[in-house]
Amino acid sequence: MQDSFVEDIVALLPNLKRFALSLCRKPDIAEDLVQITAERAFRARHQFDPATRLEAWLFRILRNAWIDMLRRDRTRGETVDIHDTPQPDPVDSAAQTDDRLMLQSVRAAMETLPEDQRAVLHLVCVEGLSYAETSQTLGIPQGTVMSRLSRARRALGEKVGINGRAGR
Amino acid sequence: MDIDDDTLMALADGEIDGDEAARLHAAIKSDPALADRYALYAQTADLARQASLADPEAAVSPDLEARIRALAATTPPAAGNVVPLRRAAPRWQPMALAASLALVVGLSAGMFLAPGAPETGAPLLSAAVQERLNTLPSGAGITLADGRRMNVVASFTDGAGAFCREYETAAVGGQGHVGIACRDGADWSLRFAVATASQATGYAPASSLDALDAFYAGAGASEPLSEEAERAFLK
Repeated sequence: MQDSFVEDIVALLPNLKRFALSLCRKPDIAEDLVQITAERAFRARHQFDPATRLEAWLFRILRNAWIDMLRRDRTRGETVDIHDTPQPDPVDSAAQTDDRLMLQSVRAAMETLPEDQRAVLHLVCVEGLSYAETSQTLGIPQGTVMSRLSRARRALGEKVGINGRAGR
Repeated sequence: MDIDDDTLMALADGEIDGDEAARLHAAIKSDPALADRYALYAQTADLARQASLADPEAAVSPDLEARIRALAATTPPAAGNVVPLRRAAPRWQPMALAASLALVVGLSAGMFLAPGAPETGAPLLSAAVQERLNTLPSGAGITLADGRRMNVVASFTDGAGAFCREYETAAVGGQGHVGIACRDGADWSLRFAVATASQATGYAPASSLDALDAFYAGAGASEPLSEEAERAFLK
């Protein structure tokens, strides 16, 4: 018999992997995080409240798994360097005609944001979570969600050449 | 109409709908400066989404999906054997532990690890340990007078704002423990303890520390404090 809880989680694997990548930025670690998340979700499935969104619950588990991973790495004396990504090349929006390259540079710009801003930006703008859901997922007040999100947007806008004054 | 940036961002993110959204959109249409400010939020959201969806590294391999399905078939749902904390979040429920772990939660200083932990003496939260919890930065380790090794893993604050620390102790070649203690006035109280692998050399495998993860999920724990934030709590 098909288990709809399992099928629902399998259907969300791409979303989980994207969120994991936005946190850790390393594909192999992202896959580990997805796997840990799925395992914990299967084990804790009775804790899931069907009145809430499954992805918000899974993102929360994944986020906790990531924090655990950082804690453990600190103990082992290794650090996961979250600031080792080089600055992206400045983007010349006018001359930039190749969408793929444009999106690549947006990704690079997103990766330079501090992790707390990146997580909020990802959950709201990429995954479409509401501010309230994001607040619950990350365990931070809604006002903090908005201030991080706003800072992330301004920084991203700056890096890719949308400054909120000149427009396009 | 004076419209602040938070409102424009909330509008772009679909947090505002109905009449108010219509009113705001009309205002944006008639005011180029406002339209530019709105465009920052609308366009960055759009770009972030497109960029993330187009990321080739985000593809899920058939192999990962197969592993997840295998996990679903082999992972039993939790049987509860963790005692909830006094101040646990109301929705927290017990999670499973690896059978080899001895777990004690919510006992006060000087407690011993109950069934399964052969250790005698050397309480996990001795006076010497408490003293170090007040002074050692995270990542630092020392050898206690009784020969045990102590490492402070991380600091965080609990849901009530108390300063808490995850730390481990291990006797040479003997039993190791991971504990979480929180400071209340001058005293520390143990909120969580788990016996780990008995080799003093290795940290317990991540999979055997699921109970710790469950604790963090339920305790309203903050993210680990930065070095700077932590310093403010140290004596």
